[in-house]
Amino acid sequence: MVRAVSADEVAPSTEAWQVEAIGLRVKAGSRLAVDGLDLTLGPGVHGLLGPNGAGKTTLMRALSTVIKPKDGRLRLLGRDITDRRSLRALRSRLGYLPQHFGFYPRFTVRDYVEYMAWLREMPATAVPAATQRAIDRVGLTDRADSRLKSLSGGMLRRAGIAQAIVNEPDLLLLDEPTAGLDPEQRVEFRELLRDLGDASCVLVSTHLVEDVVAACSNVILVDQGRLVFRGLPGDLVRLGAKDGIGDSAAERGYSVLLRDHRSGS
Amino acid sequence: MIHAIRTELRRSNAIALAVLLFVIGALMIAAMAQTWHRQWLLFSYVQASGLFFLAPLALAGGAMLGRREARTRADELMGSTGRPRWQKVTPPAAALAVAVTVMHLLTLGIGAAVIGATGGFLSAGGILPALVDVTVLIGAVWVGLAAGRAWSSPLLPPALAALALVAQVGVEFTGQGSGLGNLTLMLQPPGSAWESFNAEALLGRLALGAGLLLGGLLLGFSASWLPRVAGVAVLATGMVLTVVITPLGMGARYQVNTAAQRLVCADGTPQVCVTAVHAYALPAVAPAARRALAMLAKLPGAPTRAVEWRADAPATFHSAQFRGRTPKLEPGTVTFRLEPDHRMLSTGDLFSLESAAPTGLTADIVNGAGTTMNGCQLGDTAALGAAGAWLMGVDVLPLTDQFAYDETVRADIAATVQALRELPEQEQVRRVTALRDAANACRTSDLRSILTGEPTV
Repeated sequence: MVRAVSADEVAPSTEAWQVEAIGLRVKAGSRLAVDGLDLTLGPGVHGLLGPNGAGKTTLMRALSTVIKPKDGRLRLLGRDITDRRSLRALRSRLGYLPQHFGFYPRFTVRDYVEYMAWLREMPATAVPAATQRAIDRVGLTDRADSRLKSLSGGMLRRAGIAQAIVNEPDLLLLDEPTAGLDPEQRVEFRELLRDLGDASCVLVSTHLVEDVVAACSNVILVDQGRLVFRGLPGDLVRLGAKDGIGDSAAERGYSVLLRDHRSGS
Repeated sequence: MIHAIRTELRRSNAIALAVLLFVIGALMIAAMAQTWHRQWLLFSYVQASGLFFLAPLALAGGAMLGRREARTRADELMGSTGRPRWQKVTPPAAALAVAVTVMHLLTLGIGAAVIGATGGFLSAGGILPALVDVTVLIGAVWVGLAAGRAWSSPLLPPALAALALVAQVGVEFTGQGSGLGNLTLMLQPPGSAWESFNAEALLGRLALGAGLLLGGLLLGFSASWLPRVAGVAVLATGMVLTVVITPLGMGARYQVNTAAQRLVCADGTPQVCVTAVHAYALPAVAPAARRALAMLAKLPGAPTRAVEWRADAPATFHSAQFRGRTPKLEPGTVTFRLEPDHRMLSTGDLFSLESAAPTGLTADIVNGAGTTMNGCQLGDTAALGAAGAWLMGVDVLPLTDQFAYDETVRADIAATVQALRELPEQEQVRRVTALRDAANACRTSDLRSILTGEPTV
C-alpha cells in the first residue's frame, strides 16, 4: 500500500527528551502501581530495574500508550499522550515488546513482523526489507518462514523483539526481553541493544541486573511505583563493591539501593 | 492493506471456515439431489435453504476470529499500534468475506456445472438468490467477528451458532402465518421447476443480509459507542424489513420464470414441445407424445400437436388451483403434464439421463382422450381412464403415477372398456369422442354413462 507521509512523520526529532514524565500516576486495576514518578529519558539504552510489583510493567504499558495515566504529565517523543490527534503519529514511532508477547500462532515469523510493520504504518514498499532486516538482527533468518506456534520460548522472544524493532522506532520499550534466551543469545541481544541505543531511546525492563550492567548506558531503579535510583551501571557496581547481597557487585549494589530505600521510607 | 488481507486469508480461520461451510453445504445439497436433479431454479432454492445451517456456522466462525486477539493476549501489542480500529479490523473481516463469498459462489458454480452437464436448463435467474445470500453470509461472519471482539469467552462461538439455529426454529413454529416466520432461512419449496424467487422475496432476504452486513460493519469496525448503537439499530431494522417485505403464504415467494417456461420443440412432425426446464427430456418425450397423438387421431377433430402444460402462476399447493369450471384449450393441441423425473431418485442417479417411462407418458396423454390437463376439474376417473385405455388398446392405463387407481377403479375401468369394445366400431368412436368433448366442456359428472350408454348410479 502506498500512502502519503505527513510532515509530522518525517520531521527530525527535536524534542529534548524521548520520555518526559512528571508526577506520573498509573493504576494497575484498582492499585496505584506508578505513584508520582518523575522521569526523563533521552537517547541510549536505559535499564529499568525493580522487584516484583514495583510498577515496571505498568510503567511500560503507560509508556506504550496501552493504558492512560490516572494523573500527572507524560510526554513521549515531544507529544503529550493525552492529545488524541497526535497519538496515531506517535504510535508509529514506537516499538513495544510486552511482558506477555501475544502472537497469532498460525502466522509465520515473517507474516507477524510484516503485519506489525503494517500496523505501525510503515510505507508498504519498505516493509519487506525492514522485516528481513529485523529478522536477521534477532538471528531468526533460518526460521523466518516457520509458524510462531512451532518456535521455542527463546525464539518467540526474539520474534517479539523483531516486531518491536521493525519500524526502527525512536522509542523502543522492551519488557523482559531476555526471558527464555540462552546465554549466547543474551550476549548477542546485548550487542543488539547497544546498536539500537545509538539512534533511539531504548527502555529495557528486566530482573537481570547483569544485562543492565552489560548493555545499558543508564540504570533506573523503581520500587512501589516511585523512582529509587538513577545513575550509571558503574554506580551500581561501586555500591555493591563492599556491601549487599548477591553473586555480583551489580546485584549487591541493587540490593543495597533497595534496602536503603525501604529503610528510609 | 492488500498484503495484510492476503496474510489473514492464509493464516486465519477464514479458509477453514469456508471449507467447513462448503462441505456442509455440499452434503445438504447432495442429500436433496432428488429435489433439484437437473433443475437449476430448484438448485437455487436448495442452496438458499442451506443458509439455515450455514449462517449460524458463519456467525460462529466470525466469532472465533473475533476473539483471537484476546485469546492469544495479543490485544496489548495491537493496542500500542497507531492504525485506527476500522483499519485493524479490515484484514480479518475482508478475509472472512472473501472466503465465504468464494465458497458460496463455488458451490453455485459446481451446481451449474453438474446441471449443465446433465442437460439441465441454466439461466441468470438462478444466480441472483446466491448473490443475495452472499450478503447474509458476509453479514453473519461480520456480526460474529464483532461479537467475538466484544466477548472473548470460548463458549461464544457455539453459543452464537446454537442461538441462531434455535431462533430460526422458534420463529418457524411460533411465527407461522405471521411475518416473524420470514426470519428463518429455511424456505418453503417452489411448486415447479420453472418457479424462481420473486423480487419481494429477494428484497426481503437482501434486507436481512444488508442489516447483518451493515450492523456487523458498525459493531465491529467502530471504536465508539454511538456507531455501535447504530449498528444494533441497523441490524434490527434489517430484520423488521425482512418481516415486512417478504410475502407470506405458500408460493408467495415465487414467480413463474418465463425463460424457464419457454417452449422447446422437437424436430419433425407432429409437433411436440416441452418447457425449457424439461428440454433435456425431449428426445424421450417426443416419440411418446407422438404415439399418443397417433392414438388420439382415431377420434375426429383430434389434436395435431402436443405441448407440455404450463402454470400461469406459482403453485400454492391447493389441488384446485389450476383446475376450475372454465376449460383452457388451445385449438388442435393436447396439453400434458410432464414430470420426467417423477421417480425415486438416489444420488447415484444424479448423472443419469434417463427420463420417465415413455409408455407411462403416452398413457398420461391419452388419459381422458387427451383432456386431463385442459384446466377443468377432474371428473370420473374411471371413465377418463377407460377412454384412454380404449385408445391405447389396453384394459387399464399404465400411468406414470402407479398409485392413481385403486383396485375398484381398475376393475371399473376394465369393465367399462370391455363393454365399450363390444359395441360397433363407429359407436365406440362416437362415444369416446362424446366423452372427450364433454370433458373439454368441463363436465365432471356422469361421464361413464357417455361410454356405457347407461346412467350411473
